[in-house]
Amino acid sequence: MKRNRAALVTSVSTAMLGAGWAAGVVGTAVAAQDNTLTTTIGAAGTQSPSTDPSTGTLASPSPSAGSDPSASASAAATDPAAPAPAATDPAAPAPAPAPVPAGPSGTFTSAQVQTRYGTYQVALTVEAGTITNVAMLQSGASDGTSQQIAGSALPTLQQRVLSAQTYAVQGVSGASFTTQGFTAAVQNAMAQASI
Amino acid sequence: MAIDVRIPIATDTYEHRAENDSAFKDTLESVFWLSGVGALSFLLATGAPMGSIGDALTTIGRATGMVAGTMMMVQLLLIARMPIVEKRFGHDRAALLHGRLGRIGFIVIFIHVAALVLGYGARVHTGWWDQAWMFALRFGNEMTLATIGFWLLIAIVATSLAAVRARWKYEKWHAVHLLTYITIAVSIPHQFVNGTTFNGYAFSATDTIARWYWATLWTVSVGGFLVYRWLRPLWHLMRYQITVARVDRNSDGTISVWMTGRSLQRLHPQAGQFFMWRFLAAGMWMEAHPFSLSRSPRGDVMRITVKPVGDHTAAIADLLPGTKVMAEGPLGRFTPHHRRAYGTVLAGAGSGVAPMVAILEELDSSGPIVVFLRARTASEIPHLDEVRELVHERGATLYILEGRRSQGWLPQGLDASMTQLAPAIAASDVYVCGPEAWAEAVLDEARACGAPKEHLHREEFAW
Repeated sequence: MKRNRAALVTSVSTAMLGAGWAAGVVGTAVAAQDNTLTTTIGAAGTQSPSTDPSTGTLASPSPSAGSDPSASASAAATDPAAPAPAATDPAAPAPAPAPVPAGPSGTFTSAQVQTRYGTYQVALTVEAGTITNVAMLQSGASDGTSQQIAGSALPTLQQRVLSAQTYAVQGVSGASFTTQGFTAAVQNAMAQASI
Repeated sequence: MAIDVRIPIATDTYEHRAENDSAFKDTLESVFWLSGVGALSFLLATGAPMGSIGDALTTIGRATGMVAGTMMMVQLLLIARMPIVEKRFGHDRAALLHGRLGRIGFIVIFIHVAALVLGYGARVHTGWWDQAWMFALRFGNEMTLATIGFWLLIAIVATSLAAVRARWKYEKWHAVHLLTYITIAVSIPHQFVNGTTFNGYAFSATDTIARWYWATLWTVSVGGFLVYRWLRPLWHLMRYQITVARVDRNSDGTISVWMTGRSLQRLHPQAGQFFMWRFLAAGMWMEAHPFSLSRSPRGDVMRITVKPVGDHTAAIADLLPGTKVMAEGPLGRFTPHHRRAYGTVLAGAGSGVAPMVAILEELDSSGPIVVFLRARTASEIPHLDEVRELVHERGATLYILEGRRSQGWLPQGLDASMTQLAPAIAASDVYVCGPEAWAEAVLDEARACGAPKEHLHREEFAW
């Protein structure tokens, strides 16, 4: 190939790859922004505590759905111990001194969060301000990749949210998009629950 | 036949043609290259993560998958025998590139599979073994198909290596090689269903374009292949109705097949070119073989000259007049049309003499012509009487290189440089056709005597 033609092809290649890379970086950034956007919109719009999870559009009975109960069960068994006093005291008909804000209770459904590997939507069960269960209403796309990666990462992420009581948990390596979608959904639901 | 009224073509026209061909070759290679780069750009646009080992391996696996896909497309187009590729790029060069891409492509596909198995294994904490089974059986039908294709490919490569070692017949090897079509066919669905870049999940603006892009590339390459490799020969069979007119047994032991057809000029066959001939007779129609035209095609008549060395070639002697012929071609750029220089040197040995007869017939006497014919004895040279007559008419010089085989381009016991025998060698096009070792020796000698690389023409019947 002539040298000037080779140079042309090289520069065109570089430009194409550069454009692709830029689109990838920008796209990811925009996606992250979009997620926070849907969070605020969702908080205003779908204020529906105690949504029955069965009405959620759960298309895929994913592996994560199967592992949910055990995750929440163990979480419920261990977690309430930490903020226990406030939660258990009101049950007794005793003095009930200051109405310490016990925090909200109920089930809070997040907005739907779009990622490259499908839609994520969670339902948080909150008891007196403590997250006791994270149920997946939508856990990613139904293709093999999304199912396998999400199926493996979600139980870990659910566990981390339950123990840390925050959406800002450490991500699962190799499941960047699942982490992104899941944490954004939890963040959204927590905003609705005002915790 | 003796009167040649064609106007001699000036050398700057040759230069112009050569420049056109080189521009086409560069354009074609650039299009191939940029098609792959385009796919990788779409991969980057999906935000290919490289953060962890699992992510990085997955991204490498996705990228190598695209590279392998592009290579398959290019291979299909190279072997489709499209007239423009054959004419400007060259059949032999296309076949060589096809083979080279195949060998590299297998390694790329292997990396694709290995990287994704390891990458997913790392991301999901399954072992590579479980992950491989996961892909094979529980990932979806498309991935199961692709896995079958991968193992089929391994079997094909292993068989091909064994075939080379055991010196299989070409036909037997080719039958195995044709299974790669199945490999390609079963690999396409998983690209569009499991390939994150092309699966049509429109998350960003580029995703839909990416899917269409990849679909277009496959349509063009598979479509081009089907049209030129399958439909066109069938169309030619109906259109030109090539039939065997006469079969001659020549005194040197070769067989000449004369064929006629309807308005064959429309095919634009040229002296020095060859066709893949498929004689539609019992026991022969399964095989297509390449033979050069051994006479400049004029009117509606074509002739090939065949040395009976195998079952198929021997059976050609028994062809009956009226047998229908499927002809794929014309193929090759070993023609006077591709001349660049003032003089011409023709060197043929064995069945490589046939195209020399046709080329010599086509040359005018505007420049010096030197013909070398190599054989053990002159009686083994096909159409020697025709060559002598043409040499006389063109004012050319004929050297018959008789004798036993040696290391060099001359027979044992002879010693001369090409400059001594063909004084204009440095300003001549050199056409060589014959056994590989001898052809290489001739080209080495021509180069040593000052013939520039772009003046050297060589026909290999490369499939």
